[in-house]
Amino acid sequence: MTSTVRLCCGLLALLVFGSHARDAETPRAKTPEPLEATLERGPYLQCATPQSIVIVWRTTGKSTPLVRYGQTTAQLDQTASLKNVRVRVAPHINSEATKLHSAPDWTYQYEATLTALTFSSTYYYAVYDGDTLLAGGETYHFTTHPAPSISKPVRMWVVGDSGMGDKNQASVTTAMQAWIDREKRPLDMFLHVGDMAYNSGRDSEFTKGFFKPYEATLRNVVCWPSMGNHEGSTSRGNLGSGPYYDCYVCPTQAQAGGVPSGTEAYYSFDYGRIHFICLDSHDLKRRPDGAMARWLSTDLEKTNAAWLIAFFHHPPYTKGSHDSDREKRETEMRTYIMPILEAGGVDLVLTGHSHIYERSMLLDGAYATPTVAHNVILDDGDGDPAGDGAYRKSAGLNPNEGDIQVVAGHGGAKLNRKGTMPVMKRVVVEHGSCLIDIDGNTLTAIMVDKKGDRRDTFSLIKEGKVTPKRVANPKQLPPYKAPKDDKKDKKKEATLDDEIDSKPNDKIPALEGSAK
Amino acid sequence: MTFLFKSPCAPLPHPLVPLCLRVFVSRLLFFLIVVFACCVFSHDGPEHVIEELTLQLEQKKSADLYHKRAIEYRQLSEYKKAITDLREALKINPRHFEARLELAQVLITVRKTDEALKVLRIALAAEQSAAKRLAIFGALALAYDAAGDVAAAIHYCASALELAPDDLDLLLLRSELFWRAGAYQRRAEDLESAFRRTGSAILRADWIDAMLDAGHFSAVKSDIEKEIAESRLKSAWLIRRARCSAAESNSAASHGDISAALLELDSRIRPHQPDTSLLLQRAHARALSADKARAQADLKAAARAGAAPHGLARISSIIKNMKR
Repeated sequence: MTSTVRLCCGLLALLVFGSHARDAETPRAKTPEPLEATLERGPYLQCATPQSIVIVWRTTGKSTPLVRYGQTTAQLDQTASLKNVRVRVAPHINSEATKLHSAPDWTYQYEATLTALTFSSTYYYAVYDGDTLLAGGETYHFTTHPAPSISKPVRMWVVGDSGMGDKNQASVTTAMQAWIDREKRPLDMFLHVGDMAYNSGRDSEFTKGFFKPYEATLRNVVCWPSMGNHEGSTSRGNLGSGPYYDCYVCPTQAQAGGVPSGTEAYYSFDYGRIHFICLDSHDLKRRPDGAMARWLSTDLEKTNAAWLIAFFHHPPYTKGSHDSDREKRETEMRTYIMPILEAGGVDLVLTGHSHIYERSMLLDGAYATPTVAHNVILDDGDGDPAGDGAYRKSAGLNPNEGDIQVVAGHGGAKLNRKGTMPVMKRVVVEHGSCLIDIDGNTLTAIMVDKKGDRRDTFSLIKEGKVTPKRVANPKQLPPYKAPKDDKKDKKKEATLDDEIDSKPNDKIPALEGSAK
Repeated sequence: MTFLFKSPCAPLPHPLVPLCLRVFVSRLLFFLIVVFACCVFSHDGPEHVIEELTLQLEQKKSADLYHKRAIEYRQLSEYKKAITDLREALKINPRHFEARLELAQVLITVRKTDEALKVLRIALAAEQSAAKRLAIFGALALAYDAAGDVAAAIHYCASALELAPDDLDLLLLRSELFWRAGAYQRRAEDLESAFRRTGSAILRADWIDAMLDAGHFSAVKSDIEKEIAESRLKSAWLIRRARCSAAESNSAASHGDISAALLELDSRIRPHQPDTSLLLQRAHARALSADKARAQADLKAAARAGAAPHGLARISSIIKNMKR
């Protein structure tokens, strides 16, 4: 709300004084070029593979880009070759370099690809303008991906609908950081399921809602993005242009595994024995004859990974701030994309858009509208090793053995709930994020809320041969009754959280009407 | 907040303030309310946004507001309401490009292609910017395709691709259109240059299909062998190899590949709610093995499950051309 008031005040000033205030996204510079380059954004990491990584940073004013790196901070004895540094510049800059869609005056963006790295190795790095250090030190490091066939434990952070640049977003990040510090188990990757720059995905909104809040994380961990509808206001998937596409370097030629998509709008990558697929659910054709769905089928044909995780913005199943039974994008993702993913053996589907945390039972084939739980649930337990026990599937990727859906749209934006999706096992109306660990044949996920409490745990074990059985009448969460007004709203949310959603996990009581 | 919506556009009733200033302040107030409401409600579902926009439209009719509400109606598949709103938007501002394009797209969705074409021709005559013309050309290609005018669809697809040469959906649409026009060689050449330029795996797979359709079996056989060796799920590639073998009159090899493909497809196709692309693949495999009745059954099931018209047309044509 504070940001809304600030926005209104800004507009008021603009109108009352008739000012033509500086528009950061106009193609004419309003200021002279600075004599010295200053670091404006980053450095941050992109497009990691076992043998390469891309380091991105921005300066105001032209610089001589240089990245030094090595395996200790004291010995940054390697440099990225200049031919491996792509330069993109603000639209007004008269240069042969590729233009950014929009950026503040005199912005130069550098994207340095470091190659011939050793897999599963940690490197320190620093970025320079010629001989002048712009950023570097103990906290600037990255670890390359493991070799494709190697199974290595991984921890990923999953966030959605966070890009407010406000205190909720900050609390979610702080809570996650405190959790991983306590466990002394840092992140290996960051998956963002969209809406990272409210309200329209403009360049300045990316700075405020994404790069500033996550600066410390982004210097060590690659964020693999999927485009949300708010980024879609200013970026176009079919053209691959707009501020969203300026910010990220995603694989188009299967640099990181999978098959080439030829576009940054959707792509895949491998982390050891895990195959990740990112889709654009916002502005591309979602039907089976569309390029994206056909690429997805081709990509699934090829992967030989042990795990398959898909992520995109619009959830196939939700009754949070959005209703997947009513809205076209969600319905199409469920009707057209989920059958392809499930026939390809998907294990976990991560989405956002709906401002809530919802997590499903192990399900397969739930494509009907409206969504029903009958005969599509393969395990109606809670998936918690300390509760009903972990979900189980056969080893490897097998068609139609079930997947778990996580709606993680609770990263910072205003929360809301419309009802209870029948296939869900947990619903939490509280800001937070997810931490997912995969170690060998076991995936374990937790949801940590903004106060630092664990609100959900589930686990999936893939071993041996499991024959899926459909549950005719799965145990479901009780129906949700919408609160009547705002004051009651808050009370009701708290009550519902207490009743049907998890408390800090070690204290979860047997859930009435929902547990096995 | 409700009181703010009562009469935001009426000049403020203060006798000492000049009328122009009062009008200005009133309009400013309304503008701020709209901005505020947009910020508050922009994160909610379509129903909430519609409610809010309706409230704003009760205060003041605006092309932008009608257009925004139409987008939300479209999200909810309420096409009639979307069309009504878009026509209202165009009454207020006939040059509202986004509303006109949206109207054309909704009309194509509800299969009113003649009306869509009329709307798009007006837009084309009025717009000069490349980005807008790209959108119009793309929509014209879809509209003509839906109307069954393949030549015109190819023409507008080409116009769109001149402006966005790497748009994968447009490239695939043109490939389908070439196939429908019987321009097999042209289709293969077009796809080859596109996949070499973009690296897209799906364009490469389509190029291989185009080469098979054009009769160039030996030219792509090694590519197919490589894909079979490297793929986890092989059915699509086994079917392609079966086509090569059949062309070489090696019916044993062809049957072997078809059987293997069917075995894999049967394990992946769920009896209820199947993946339509797998159903079409199985229909194709069954057609190649001369199992016409079951091929047709798969084709019907794919149609019921919402398979795309182009895919259905291709398999239907293969089944029709079966020897027995």
